[in-house]
Amino acid sequence: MSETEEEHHGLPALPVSDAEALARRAVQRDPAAWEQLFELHYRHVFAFVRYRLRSAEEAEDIASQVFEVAYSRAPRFDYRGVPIEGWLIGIARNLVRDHIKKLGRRGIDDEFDDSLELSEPDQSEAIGLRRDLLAAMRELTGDQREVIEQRFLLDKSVAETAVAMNRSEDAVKNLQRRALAAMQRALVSAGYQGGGAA
Amino acid sequence: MTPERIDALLQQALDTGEIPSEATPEERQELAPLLANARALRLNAARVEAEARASLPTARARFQRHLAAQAAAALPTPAAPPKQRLMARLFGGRAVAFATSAAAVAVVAVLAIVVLQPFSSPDTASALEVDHYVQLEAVVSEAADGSVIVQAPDIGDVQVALGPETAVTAAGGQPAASLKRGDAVLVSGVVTAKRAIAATNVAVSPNGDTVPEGGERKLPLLKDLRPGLEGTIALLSLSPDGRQGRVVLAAGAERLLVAVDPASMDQFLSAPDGGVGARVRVVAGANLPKGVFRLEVIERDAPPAGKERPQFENVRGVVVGRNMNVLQVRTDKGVIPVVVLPQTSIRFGESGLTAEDVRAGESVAGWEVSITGNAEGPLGRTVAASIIVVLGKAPARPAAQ
Repeated sequence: MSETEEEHHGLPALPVSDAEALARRAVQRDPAAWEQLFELHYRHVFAFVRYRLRSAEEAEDIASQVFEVAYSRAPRFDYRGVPIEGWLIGIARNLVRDHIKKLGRRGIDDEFDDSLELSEPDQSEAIGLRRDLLAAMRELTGDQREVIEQRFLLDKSVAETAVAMNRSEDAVKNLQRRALAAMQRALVSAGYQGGGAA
Repeated sequence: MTPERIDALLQQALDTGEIPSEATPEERQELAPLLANARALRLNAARVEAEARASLPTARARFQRHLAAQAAAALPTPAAPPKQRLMARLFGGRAVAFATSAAAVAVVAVLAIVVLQPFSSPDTASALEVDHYVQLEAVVSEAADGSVIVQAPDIGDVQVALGPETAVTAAGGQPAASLKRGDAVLVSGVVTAKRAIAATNVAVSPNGDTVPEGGERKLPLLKDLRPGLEGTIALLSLSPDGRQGRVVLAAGAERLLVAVDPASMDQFLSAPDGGVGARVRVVAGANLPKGVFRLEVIERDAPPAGKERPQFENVRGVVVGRNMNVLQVRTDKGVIPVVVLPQTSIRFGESGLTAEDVRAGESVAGWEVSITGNAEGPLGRTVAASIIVVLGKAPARPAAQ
């Protein structure tokens, strides 16, 4: 697993002064700074991972690994102008990819797995909806999937998404419409006449 | 219909939850399914957010172990022990860690009885009764993994248990870093023992000096209305059946316990400036028992200049859908997911609904509701509910999506 440009292609920075001060301390491996980073970013990293893996337990494991790997690489992180959350998401992306490759070697197709282990009874509709949403996301291009993740799964604004994707806000709006339309086509072909609101 | 126009209309629809009125029928036809897909995605995002919150304590303990191990490896002297639960440190397993989290409330309840002194004032005790829902402002005096001790005006030390489901956020919906001594907090939850609260929601601000000082003291119960009585709500509590509501009113230097009519309490909680920190007028009400009053919100007390007080979000809107414990609520800022936590207090008021109805699968779609809770980041539009008030009578059906 290598640090690539992709690792720096993620989410926008926190307010610059706070984020940079925190990043400086993180580079020095200040434990208090890392505890703060964990509190700030864990749920976001978890959400990013969760949409790619079978279970919450696997997502928790990978999300935890992200912070351990990031801590080990801290002295190599260049905080100047690079959002630390984007760096963490980049690490998450690579860890997920490695994890899925490992499962693939064992003959398990885990990405966007269609099972959701819920303990509540009679949740077939919710399970089906999520499964089909994830299946529909498979039909998207990389950019379309990223805009969906940023805007609707990680709840980023258009402006934040534009920064993260290095595009204009108008381009993001256009891309999100095309992505939602592509999802709609996939959902209709899966039998959801009204799309995701079924 | 140009791409730019349809992009802009979609963005407006995503922001407000409604297709703009200026859209043509053809544009509406194109936009409607896209908006529905976006809603479905956001609903699932809220569920993932709930999973993330539940996994946080275990992951945090693991990362703290990692940091401690790295520190121990780097330093010639033994590193400081990681801040984590004893059982989790010994065994490290997820099940054990969750079990210890779940047990924390019970343990805290026992500890609170054994370690802390009982109330010395019966008047004060009536402001914080076991099994009651409570909201109070306080300052953190001690913080440890899984629970904190806060110093609350009029009450003194209160142990607050933080479970895996507890929503803890700072201003702007950002997840709060670990609570620390001196933080101002607004806590809601259920009183599990004298001076012990199992928290559902905690709002945090670093400005501990925004919370009035003052330890345990006797609070007189207001029996007769005084004309023009006004003050700021410092604490509110509700009995499990919802029929008894009380507030602590700070009126100048005086602090009073005030019994509040349940219907008035619902109005107070659903008012935009309601809740702890609101400035209110105490008034009489028709047909109320002696010693029970109504509250009228005047405004929310402004914090000192440059200081933020911890506060919950108040959201009002119509339920348009339900997926297990997540409600979709249409507000004037669009449709937002609302996560109903295990200990969320739900007040059904005059609605005619009951908890049994909801458990039996009532979708609540079409009902107007007021929700108080944490607007959580990174999914800033997700509200983890502390208390929900169902407003009005049954809506015309069908309204579910």
